[in-house]
Formats: sequence, C-alpha cells, structure tokens
Amino acid sequence: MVNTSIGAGTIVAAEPRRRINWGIVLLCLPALAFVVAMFVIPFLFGLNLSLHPGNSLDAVGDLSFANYLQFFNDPGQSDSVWITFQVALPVTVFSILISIPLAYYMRRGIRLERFITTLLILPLTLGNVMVAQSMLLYYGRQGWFNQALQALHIIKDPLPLVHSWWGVEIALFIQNFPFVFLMILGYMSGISPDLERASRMLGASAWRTFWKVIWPLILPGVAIAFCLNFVANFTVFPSAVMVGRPDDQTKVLSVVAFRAAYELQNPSLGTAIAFVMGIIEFVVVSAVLYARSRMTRTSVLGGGKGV
Amino acid sequence: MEKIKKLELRGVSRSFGTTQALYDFNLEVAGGMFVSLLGPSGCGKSTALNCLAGLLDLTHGEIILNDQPIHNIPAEKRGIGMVFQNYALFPHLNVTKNVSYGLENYKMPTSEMERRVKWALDLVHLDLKEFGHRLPAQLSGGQQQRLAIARTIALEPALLLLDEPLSNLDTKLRSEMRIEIKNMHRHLGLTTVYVTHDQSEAMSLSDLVVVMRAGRIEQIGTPQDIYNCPNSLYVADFMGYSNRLPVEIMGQEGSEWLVQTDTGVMLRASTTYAGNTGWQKGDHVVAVARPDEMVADPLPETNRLKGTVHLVDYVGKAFEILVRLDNNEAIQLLVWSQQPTELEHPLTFGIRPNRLLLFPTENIVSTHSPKAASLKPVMS
Repeated sequence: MVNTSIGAGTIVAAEPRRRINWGIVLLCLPALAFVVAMFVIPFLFGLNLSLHPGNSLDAVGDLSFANYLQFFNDPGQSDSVWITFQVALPVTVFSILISIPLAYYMRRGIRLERFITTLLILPLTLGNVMVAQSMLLYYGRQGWFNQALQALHIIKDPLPLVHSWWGVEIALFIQNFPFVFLMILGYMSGISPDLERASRMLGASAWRTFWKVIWPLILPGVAIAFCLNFVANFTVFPSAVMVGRPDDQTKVLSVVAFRAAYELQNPSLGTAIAFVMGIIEFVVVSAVLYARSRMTRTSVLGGGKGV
Repeated sequence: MEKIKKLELRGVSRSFGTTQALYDFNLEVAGGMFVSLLGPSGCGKSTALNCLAGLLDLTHGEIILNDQPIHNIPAEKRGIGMVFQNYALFPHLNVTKNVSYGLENYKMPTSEMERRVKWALDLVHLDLKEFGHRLPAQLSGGQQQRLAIARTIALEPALLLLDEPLSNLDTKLRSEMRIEIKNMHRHLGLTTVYVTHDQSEAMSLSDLVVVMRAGRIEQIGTPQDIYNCPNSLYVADFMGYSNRLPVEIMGQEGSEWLVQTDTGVMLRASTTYAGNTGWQKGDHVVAVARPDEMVADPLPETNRLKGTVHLVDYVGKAFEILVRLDNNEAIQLLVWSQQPTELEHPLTFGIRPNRLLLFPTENIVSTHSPKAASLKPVMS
C-alpha cells in the first residue's frame, strides 16, 4: 500500500541552505496569476464592498460594519443563519450515515458494482435545475409518487414533498450524496483486508473490528467528506428556490443575500451576507477538522514497508 | 490457552468458484510440532493455512483439535494466532496498543495485560520503553515483523500460524529472524504451522515438512526425508536436484539400477520414487542429482562422466562448474569441485550411486495450474 503520509517521528535529513529556483517560480506564475485574478481580487473587492454600505458598486464613503450590524439586527434576515443550518446539517449527516454502512458493505467489491456506481454518478451530470424540475413533476401533489402512495392507500392526502423543507433535503441528497459515498468508499476500500483478518485472529468480532480498526482509519475521510458536503449544502440556492419555500422554511443565507443584492438593490449588503455565510462555513470546517485531529493523532492508511 | 495434544485435518478441500485450490488435505500434527507447508505460489499452502485459521470456510472436510471439531467455529473464537505476510499491523495504534489489542478483546485485567505486553515484546527483543509509543510506520521492516509476532504471541494461542513471515525481509534479517522463530518455538513449545516457498527455511525450522503441489500434498516427511529421499521428480526439483540426465534402464542389481546415458555411458543409480517403478530394460527415465553431490574433486571412484568446462563459479564452499557433457552438448550439468578448473578444459566427475536418483519422466513445468496435478507421471 502506498504511504499516504509520513509519521510524526520521521527523521528528515538536514537540508542544505535553500536557494530560490527561479525556473519553478516562473512555472508557477501562470497559475498564480490565475488565482489572483479569479479569486483573490474578487474576494478583496467583495470584502471592501461589504464594508462600504450604500447602493453603489464603487465602494465610496467610510469603512463601516453597518451592513453586518444591519443583517444581525434584523431578525427577518439573521434568522436565515439558523434556517440554513437546519437545511444543510440534516442532509449532510444523513448522507454520511447512509454512506458508511453502504461503503462497508461494498468495500471488497460486489456484483453489479459498476452499474450501481454509474447510477449514483448520474445525478451529478444532470445539474441542480434539471433535478429540481424533475422533482416538481415526480414528487409534486399530482406527481407519480404521491399518486402511487394514494392509490395504494398508504396516504390520504399528498405529502408535501416539494415546495417545502423536505423538497430541498431530497434535492440536496440526490445531488451531493454521490460525492460523499464515493469518497468514503475510496477510504474504506483503501484499508488492507489483512487488517480485518488480523483483527479477527486477535479475537475481535466484526462489530469491534469496525469500531477499533476501520472507523479510526476512515475518520479522516469522513471528516473531509462531511466538510465538503456541508459547504455544498450550506450554499444551496436553486433548489431552495425551486423546490423549497424560500419565504420561510428554506430562507437560506444565499436566498437572503440574493434578495438584498437584487431585490433591495443593495449589493453591498448582499455581499456582506455572503461573507457571513463564508465565515460560518470556515468556522464549521475548522471545528470539524480540529475535532478530527484530536480524535486520531495520525491519518496514516498505510504505514511503511508492507503494512 | 489449552495446549494442543493433536491437530488433525481430514479431507479438507476448498474451491473458489470453479477453481479448486485445495484437494483432500490430510494432516496430523502432534502438540508442540513445527510443521511447514512448502510449495511454489499457487500450490494451495496459504489456502490450507487460511482454512485452519477460520478465515476461509471449508468446501469439504473437517478440522479436529484435541478431538473437538473446530471447522465451524468462527476465526475470532478459535484461539489460533496468525502472523501475516505483510504483518497487518494496525497503523493507527502504537506498539503497545497493537500488542494489547488482542488482550483487550479477551477482557483481560489491566495488570495482566501490562505484564503480557511486556513479556511478548521482551520475547521478540523490542524494548517497551524505547518503542512502546511508536507507530508501526516508525519501525523498520524487521521491527514490524517482531511486533507482528509479539502481538500474536501475547495471546498465548494454542496454535500459531505463520504465513510467509520472512519473505519481506532482506537476507541477513531473514536468517536472524529464522533463528529467533526457532528459539521462540523451542522456548514456548507452541504448535506451529509455517507457510513458505523457501525450502531452506522449511528445512531449518521444521519437524515436519509438507510439500504441496497444485492443491495437493506431494510428500510429507522430516526435513531429512524430504531432502534426501524425495518421492517424486517434483519434490526432487524443489529440493535442488537440478541436474537432469535422460537415461535408459539396462537392468537391476539389488537396490541399484544400471542405466545408460544416451551417449553410451553406463551408470549405477537408485530411486526414491514412491510410485510403482516396475521399470523394464529399455525404459526411459530421468536421473537427477544435486550439484553438491556431483563432484569432480574429490573424484568418486565409480560412476563417472566426462565433459567440458563451460563456466566456473566460486560459491564459497567450493567451485560450481557448469559442464557440457561430451558427445551431447545439449546436456549441461552443475558440478562441485574443491579445485578451480580452466575454461573449455575436459573434466571428469562422478556421483555416488545412492545419490543419483531415478524418476519416471514427468512434466513438472506447469505446477501452477491445478490441471498439472491430474497429469499422471508419464512412462515412456
């Protein structure tokens, strides 16, 4: 197995005094220029804009936190922070919880694996809008799903599966679950089957082997999958509008930011809200990664020769 | 754990889909024995070991330990220890935790656990103070190997299984570990089953060697038996009888056979073949010999052959000389000599009649396919 990281105590030979390799610097320049032009400048532009309240895009006037204060002082806007968590967290946790046993079951490969994987990847190719549109037809009050359940007398009234919190959860699950699953499957199938055999030979049941061997080894993967998935779900916009209830149940931060910028004609406020969103994501991701690093000291999948 | 009095495998077989990896495996091991399963890759030796461990279910047969069938007991409850070829150390646990992992599974009191961890690490010469907190990735290959053994020994298993444990080590470490494994076996008296493809490992460690071929047992015996009296051409080949000479049967004198090479040289030979010889005058068989027993200096008194020196190689104890047989250059033999010889010079060498072994001609090239096993030795 490939060594994925070097253990903490690895001795590194003392390096000679570093000299700048101008060739490598030159090679990096195009990429660096791209990052600066496409990310750093817009980021600083946005930050500057959010700190200059007003309807102008020119960021005139004094530096001020007025936009941020306005957002947090207006319960109609700031409650979207809580709403966004309510939308993003459950579907993220659910995706992870479904992925782990599924990946455990598929870790050695199963029959029809390629077919199942293809089926899972398909939603990724469709795009948010297409998925939302299809959901409106399928899960709507008159959609096949509700009609079928009614015909089978399982339900009396149609379930509110679109234009509701449920609609957004379903849409996000369809779109983002494949990422989570494939990532966790990758980590799970990267663990040598000999570790499980060794664990059994040392008297551990399959259940104990999972918690003592497999879980600590996939934990880094689970943490990363959680972070990526959470960020994707936290920034939901098209689904929240199309299959959600953007006025209350799914009034997520991106919807509020959009309205501030384009309905209230206040791009400065909209940008500030977007920054609030970014900061929250940053805090959550940092917290998860910190927790992960506390739970396992190492993230090694393989360990040196033959392990 | 309870010491083993007797371990029996009766008619054990195992198939993977349509491929049969192990046929009718029968073996009886007395407690405290060191048994090696020896054979090339794909011969079924690891399959046999995994069946014994409980990691593979049997297709047929039974495994009896101290008169109790154990083949339906899951691996984690058999109380058998196993050391894996790639060590299979837990990369996220340090040395101490790797060793105590198994002890925790058996819910041992902490004091007993600490005692056992120290005892097991001492046994493999890993210092608890120095290495206890290291992760497997921070150990050398040899130390990882020691840890893998300590982890298994700590549980004091009734039966110890070793799956090619030395194959990832360099030559020097391998011979060191070999001695340690031997010492440990003597010290603990653990019944051990050892899988290897290295005949010298099997020879030096075992009380009993089981030579396997294409899923079947080819020969069971003490190392001396197997080495000196291989009962088939396949085993002889595995034991280093690399010199081959096609010969024709001329007659029999007591236990010795008179044979003639195709260049007309008369030789005396014997056979350790287990099957029915029943050879008649004019039958074609193959004579095999080990290079160290086909010698030019000191020259045996009888049973001599002549050839031309083609290559000379100093192998430490003697010179190993590649000789092309006179009148038939297609036949090349390796001959040992205490004296170096000139290239392209004629050389006379000989072999004791009881060390020139006759076997029926047999195709042993494709030992990897199970089909090869069903090929009956061909008499021509």
